[in-house]
Amino acid sequence: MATKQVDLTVKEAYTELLGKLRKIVGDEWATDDPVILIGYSRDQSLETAHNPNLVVLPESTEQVVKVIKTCREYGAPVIAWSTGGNTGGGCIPQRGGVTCDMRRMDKVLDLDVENMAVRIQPAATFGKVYVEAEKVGLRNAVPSAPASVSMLANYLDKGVFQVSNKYGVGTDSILGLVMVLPDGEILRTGCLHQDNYGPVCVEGPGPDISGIFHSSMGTLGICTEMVAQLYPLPEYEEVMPAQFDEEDLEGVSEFLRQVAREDCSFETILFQDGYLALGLTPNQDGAETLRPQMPRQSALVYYGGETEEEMEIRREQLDAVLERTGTELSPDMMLELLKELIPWKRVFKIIQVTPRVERLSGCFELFWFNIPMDQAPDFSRQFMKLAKKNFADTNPESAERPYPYEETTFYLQPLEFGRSGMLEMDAYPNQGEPEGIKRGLAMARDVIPFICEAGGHFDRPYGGEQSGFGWVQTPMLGTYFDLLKAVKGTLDPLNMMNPGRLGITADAAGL
Amino acid sequence: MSELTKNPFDPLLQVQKDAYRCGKCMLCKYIDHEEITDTEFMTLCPSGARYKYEAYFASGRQEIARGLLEGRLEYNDTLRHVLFTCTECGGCQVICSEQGNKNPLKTIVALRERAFRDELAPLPEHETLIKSIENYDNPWQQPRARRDAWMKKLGLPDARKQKVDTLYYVGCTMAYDPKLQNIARTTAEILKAAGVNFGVLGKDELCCGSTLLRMGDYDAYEKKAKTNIEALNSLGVERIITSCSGCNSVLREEYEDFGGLEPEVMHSLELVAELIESGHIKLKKPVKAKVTYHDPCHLGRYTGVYDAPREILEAIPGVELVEMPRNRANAFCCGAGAGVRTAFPEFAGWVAGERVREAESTGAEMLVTACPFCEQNLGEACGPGMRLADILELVRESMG
Repeated sequence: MATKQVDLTVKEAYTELLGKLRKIVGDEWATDDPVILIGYSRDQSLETAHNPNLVVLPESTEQVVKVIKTCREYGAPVIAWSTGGNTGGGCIPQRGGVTCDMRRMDKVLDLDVENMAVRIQPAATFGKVYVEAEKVGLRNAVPSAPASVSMLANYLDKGVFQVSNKYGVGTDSILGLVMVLPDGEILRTGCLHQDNYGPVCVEGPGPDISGIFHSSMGTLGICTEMVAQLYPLPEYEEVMPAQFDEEDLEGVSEFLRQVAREDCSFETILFQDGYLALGLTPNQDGAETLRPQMPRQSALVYYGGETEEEMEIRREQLDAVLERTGTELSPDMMLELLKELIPWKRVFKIIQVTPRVERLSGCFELFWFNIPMDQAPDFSRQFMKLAKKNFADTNPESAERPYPYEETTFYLQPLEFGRSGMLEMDAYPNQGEPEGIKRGLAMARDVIPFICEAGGHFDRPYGGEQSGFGWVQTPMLGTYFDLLKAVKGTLDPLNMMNPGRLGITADAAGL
Repeated sequence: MSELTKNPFDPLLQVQKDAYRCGKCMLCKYIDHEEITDTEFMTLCPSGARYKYEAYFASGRQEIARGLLEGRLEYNDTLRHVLFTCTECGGCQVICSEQGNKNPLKTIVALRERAFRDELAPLPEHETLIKSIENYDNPWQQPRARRDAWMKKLGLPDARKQKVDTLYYVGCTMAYDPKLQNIARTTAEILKAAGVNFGVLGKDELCCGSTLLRMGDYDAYEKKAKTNIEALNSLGVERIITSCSGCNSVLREEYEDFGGLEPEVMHSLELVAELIESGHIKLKKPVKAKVTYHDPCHLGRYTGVYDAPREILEAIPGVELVEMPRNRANAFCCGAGAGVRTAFPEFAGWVAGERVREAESTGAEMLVTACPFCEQNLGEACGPGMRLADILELVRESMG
């Protein structure tokens, strides 16, 4: 289908397009009003705010099909927006276009108790699915994100959860997708490839096409439905904190790896004090009081089971790991605080980025990548060196410490029974003032090349042209990037779906 | 980044830090996730629930504040709609303050104040109320002389002429709305029966100014608040009780900005709960009803009164209290507040309809509350299967 060849200015074309979109979704659910548009201009990343030209709120897959086909007539960019909680500028329409706000599609369509699966729409939040699943003794993965974010988008974006040690990342839990492609055709993958198929087929049929859409950030179409795995909700659960000095990165990596490999925990994860103090206290003052009382590094292990006996067996395994690795438990004070993390639902409140971002400066700069566990100490040391360089307000006596080094932290999480690890490095520049932007961009310029050169891998190549990772990493990928461009060029020859992401420009895609 | 506003008196400068620190977590859209029992009723923000665009939630309004500060946004009719469809229920405030010490409600108040100063407000519908307060000391265009019509034949003492412990501050809506005057009368009868030494101000009671504050006319509100503080402090009473949740929150909390009131301020329900507990009010007659309680925003979230109404309901023989999925700090607004019912009656009706639907989901046959605005708005949304009542009406009935 060709784009519209008309002599319209951009403004006139969008006005005409708005009229057509309103016919699809109803007058109320599409607009070009700047007061409405500005709500879609920013997230918690360092990306510069930018308004879309239009916003449209479809209520069904059929309407999404029509919206995309109509936008295609005009060559207008389409940016899918599920619940707006992206941390990396993924939904900021840097080149304008039509933001497709999916919030009218927020249903849990089906909960298959026997087969432990859930069928959801894009704006069904983690919290909503959790509540529904909990009623039948199941649960979804709980991410390091607010309960208010889209489960579908987070899973597609390889979200890391408090069960990733055991069950993997978000994409590992996807059983099927309904994708509306850039030409408006509907593609059904996995268990959704035909209506009467049960939630059992993760891949295929044949080669797994659905993998193309994982981490594609809306560049290859809009996902309107997902079937995802659920997990048993443990009857018994406990948390065990172990403590480590700042320099003992080898010790903590080995401890995490052994716990993961023993399969005696639902999750194990390392937090630094700056991160954990913010999560465990109701306000910034509380965090600042608590932090000096905490170990610099805490490895938290969640364990439990269907019975008390099962939980005890896990605890014995953990005690053996503690002894083998010479690891000390944290003071009782930490255990008392961490009991707040139980039950699982509490994780929504505590282990999530929001309190840190909002209490500090409103902007979150995260560097998220997969690493071999044995390289974690080197990566972490280098990150802290760069954090000191860029966020070096280190003098605790100084009243003015807008960017204290201690608040620039990382966390480390073993995946797949310790076979690999996820290291997230977090900094909190202030997007609202020039110094914050300067420091944030300087940090990005330092960290991204270091990671890529050291063999780190961005699974989520977030960001746009200003601070994005994709722009650095993907062109380094040789044939992989060539094929990625070819896929993009084939599915989206007009480069209309969330353009400017994944390091693919119109030129780079050969368009 | 655009240059920030140059006007040093811009009310938005007071909330700039909050607007810039909004991390778009989107939690302000929903009730506390730990408290969700029914996903059908998990939305917290009335305007967001109805209009759905991001701008209608607190997170979007923070971005609007930021846009105005940076000069990225100009005033238009949509902005008026976005600003004034907020009921100022404070739901976002409860959730957001848990997350990051922020105060989105203050941002909304600042946006309205700025709109008022820049003549984007008042809305025409609000202008009538504001002028009425200026001319008649009530928002309902009623003469001062009729303010005491509700208390005819009750023989209530004048608090300025007779030494009393307690002032019953009735409020404009209870005093003038013929459908609600009986609640004021019931309150007075209960207090008398319990032996409370109280008086009223009759025709000389002044509007508390809550309407002015919520509609953005901050200067007029400040004037009204200061006048009231002086007048009420001069009475020498120990406490002031209100029937109206709006009056309660303004007298109790907002007047603190100007030095506050010397007497203790409490809602009538709090006093009645104490009187039941102390045995001064005896509830004898069973009131057979399955009821659910709607927490008025200005009584619950604004002043933290959640237990007293429930204690009263549990003390009434025959009453079975069932909670709505959204209750206490998670309560969904009735839709009337902050001038919404006046300016956007259709939207206010939609919100009330949602709340009544939630009440119906509990199996209750009666929806009880304790605020004249909630009673006006919810009353119109109740169908034949749901009776609306003020808690004190049930108390009166049970006293026999």
